[in-house]
Amino acid sequence: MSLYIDVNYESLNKYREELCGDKVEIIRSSDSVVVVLADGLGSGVKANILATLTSKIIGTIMSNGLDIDEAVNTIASTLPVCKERGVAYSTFSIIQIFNNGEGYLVEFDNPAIMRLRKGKLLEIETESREISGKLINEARFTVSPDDLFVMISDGVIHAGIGQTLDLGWQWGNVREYVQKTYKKDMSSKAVAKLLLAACDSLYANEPGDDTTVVALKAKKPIKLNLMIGPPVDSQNDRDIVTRFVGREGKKVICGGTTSQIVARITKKEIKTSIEYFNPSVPPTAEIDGINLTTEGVLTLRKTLELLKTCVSPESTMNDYLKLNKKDGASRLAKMLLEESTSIYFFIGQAINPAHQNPEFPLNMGLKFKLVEEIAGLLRQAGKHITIEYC
Amino acid sequence: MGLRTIHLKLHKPGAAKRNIINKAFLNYNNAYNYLLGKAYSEIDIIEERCRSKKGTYSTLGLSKWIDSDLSAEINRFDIQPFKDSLKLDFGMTLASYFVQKKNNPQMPYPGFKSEPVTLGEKLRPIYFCRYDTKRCFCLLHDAVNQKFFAKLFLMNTRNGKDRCSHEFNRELNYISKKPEKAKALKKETFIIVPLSFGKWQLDFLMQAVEKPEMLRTARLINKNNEYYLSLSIDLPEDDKIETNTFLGVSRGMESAVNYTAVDGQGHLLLNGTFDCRNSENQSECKKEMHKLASEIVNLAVKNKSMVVLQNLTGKGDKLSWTDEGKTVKPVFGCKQYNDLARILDYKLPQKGLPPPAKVSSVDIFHSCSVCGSNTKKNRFSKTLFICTTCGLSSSLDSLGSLNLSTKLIRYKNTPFKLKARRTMEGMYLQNELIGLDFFVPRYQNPLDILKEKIQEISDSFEEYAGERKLNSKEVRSIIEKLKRNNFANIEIV
Repeated sequence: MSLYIDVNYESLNKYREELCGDKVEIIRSSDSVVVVLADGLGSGVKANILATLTSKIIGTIMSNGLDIDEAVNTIASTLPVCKERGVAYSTFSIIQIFNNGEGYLVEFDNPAIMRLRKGKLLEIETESREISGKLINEARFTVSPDDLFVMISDGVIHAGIGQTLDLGWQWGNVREYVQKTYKKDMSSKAVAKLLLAACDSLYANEPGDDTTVVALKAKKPIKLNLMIGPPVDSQNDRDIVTRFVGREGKKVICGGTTSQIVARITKKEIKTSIEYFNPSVPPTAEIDGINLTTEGVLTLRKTLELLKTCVSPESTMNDYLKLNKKDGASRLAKMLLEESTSIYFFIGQAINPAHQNPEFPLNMGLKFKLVEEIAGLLRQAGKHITIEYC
Repeated sequence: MGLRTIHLKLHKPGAAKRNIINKAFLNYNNAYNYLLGKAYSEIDIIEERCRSKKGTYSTLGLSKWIDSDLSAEINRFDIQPFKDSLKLDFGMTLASYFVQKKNNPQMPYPGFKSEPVTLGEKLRPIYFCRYDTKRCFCLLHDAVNQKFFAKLFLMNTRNGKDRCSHEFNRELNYISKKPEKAKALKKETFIIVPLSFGKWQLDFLMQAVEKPEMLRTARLINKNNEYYLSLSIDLPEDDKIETNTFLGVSRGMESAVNYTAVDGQGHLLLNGTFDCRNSENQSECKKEMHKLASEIVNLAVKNKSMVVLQNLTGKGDKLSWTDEGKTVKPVFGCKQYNDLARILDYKLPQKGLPPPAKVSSVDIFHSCSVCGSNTKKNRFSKTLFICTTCGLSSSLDSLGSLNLSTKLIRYKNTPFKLKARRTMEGMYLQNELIGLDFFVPRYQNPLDILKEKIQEISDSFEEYAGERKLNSKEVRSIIEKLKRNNFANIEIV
């Protein structure tokens, strides 16, 4: 079994604090992904330093194959001591998931991690032991595709204390909310954003504590093949299209001429849609066997805008909800960002005669730039990207 | 519109007048009971015969069941001065009974007594069906002393009283379109009684002096051996207020009602809650309800708001919450909320505002005001709403009124959906709701043809032969909205 782990996190700073006292470290290696969530004592700069040191130390040690005892010992002897409280303190949660489905969890004083399998809660049984005077909970388990893990800092369970809720949002409430909001095709980014948006709203947009949500979603690798523009040499049309159609995974074509080439070679009919869901995005078409067929540059430009907005740290849950729209750009952005783990780009280098018009604002250079920017954003989101120019 | 009731006390009537009033009460009640007893034996026939084609009952229609024979028969109760009123009162009782029976077949027949009534019992008020200086009842005004009097016709010519003095000891003028001076008669079938009241009632009476047409009907009530005239007046409406905001008023789990005002674009202006003190005493409850309604009206006037209320007569709002087998109900039950709505129905127009819009409230406590997600999952607890799509959290009560306040704006912005199917020859466009189904040949402008077709439907609402899901009124509303938006709010599906 080979798993792809989709990991994302979102944080809220305590109201009027410049820095967040929670820190998340994600270390991907060839065989596993290690995620550390550290919550430093107090808030502001001091908490940020404690959390950063803790997460960095643990992340580095764990990803290098050393055990948790080593990591905890190192933290205990390294962390600066708080003048006020006389302790060096940072709570943490660590989860390591290997590509073969093995999982390892360590928790120290952080709210317990939540695991959902097919939308139902699945307890992780932990064992307690003491390392360097710290009582940690430890568990080893097996991860299945579609398992969702949600790690939270205590800011989440304190959300709304004394404001919208008397006693805050208890761990049980958070668990209930995560379960209620679970959707099979929801990305880890969306899960984290949604839970954090709820916390922010409960805090009435003035968080009383640093708040962090980390979501990990185990997926079977989902491949997506994207063909943009006709091959530079029309002699290669058949070969490229055959390879494109023959590849495993979903298929998307961007460009009118490109879709006509694919339809001609595969002997399929193109059914153009007359629906304009968004006036700034040209309508889509349908080709049997192809998951999405869109117009070229205008759609890609809009897709890039959507991806930029969603990947940006300032993105909101509403930005993600915009991906549910029916226009070509929103559908393409959703497929790239939420419904695939590995994307293969076929970039045709033929020059579109329309782009030769000096009054036409787009040129080939711009098209490639669009594709590169899209690929860059997707890499940033943890996708495996391959580009083939043809 | 604008009917209001004020209570005026008959000020210390003397023994003779008391005697006349008491006798009238007994006569009226005996005759009323006699009519109910007569109707009871043939109630099914009356129900069938007096039902209109629409299945409704009119007071006048039912009162006509009393034919000339029966009408002559009840003269033995000396009810001539109020016979017309008695017939209408009887008609109202039966109409109300039939309507209630429709909803509740087990509804018992109105109670009546076969034996003569006595003064110690609870007596039915005497109804005066018209304001008239020559019969039924009217008011008199002593402008010099600023006193008011009631002239009540309670006797027939047979038992009318002879008058010794032919002069009144003060100048009394009828409150009437022709404000004549009241004259004493040799034999009188009426009594004139001074009225006592407060400042609030005086204000209405002074208005009535200027506009006597606002005086309508009255009931003479006997309560704890005192007599009151319950006077129904039709108040002129205030100047119309042009509304430019919306005020949603919904019931809640923590407060009796919650309100939210939004501007024309749906931006929040203000929100809050109103409570209504609960009391075992029914009249106290009524008072509180009127107080609450007045507060809402004042708020609506201040903000020039169109009030939007929940329509709780059909589908409910699913506001009750069940947790671990225990059901928690909203502060206001449906009945209380509907009572409030009924009060607002007339109080708002009195202040020049349009009557409240009552809209479906099926989704107001489950729909997110930001993203529109509508699912039961969004309700997190008895009082907390957390959207499962965008994470918005809100107090359930304030969300309800907010959703209510924006309901009309959302309706206004709902696009007109056209189902389209393209062929080689052109395009088929269809909307089943208004019965639109037409073909646009290739190279022709679909919008022009759509406008023509819509005009065709508008010109022949009643005769329209095509199939449609909505009734004429609803179709007209959709078409008006489409025209108002200059055909810009169309969505192709």
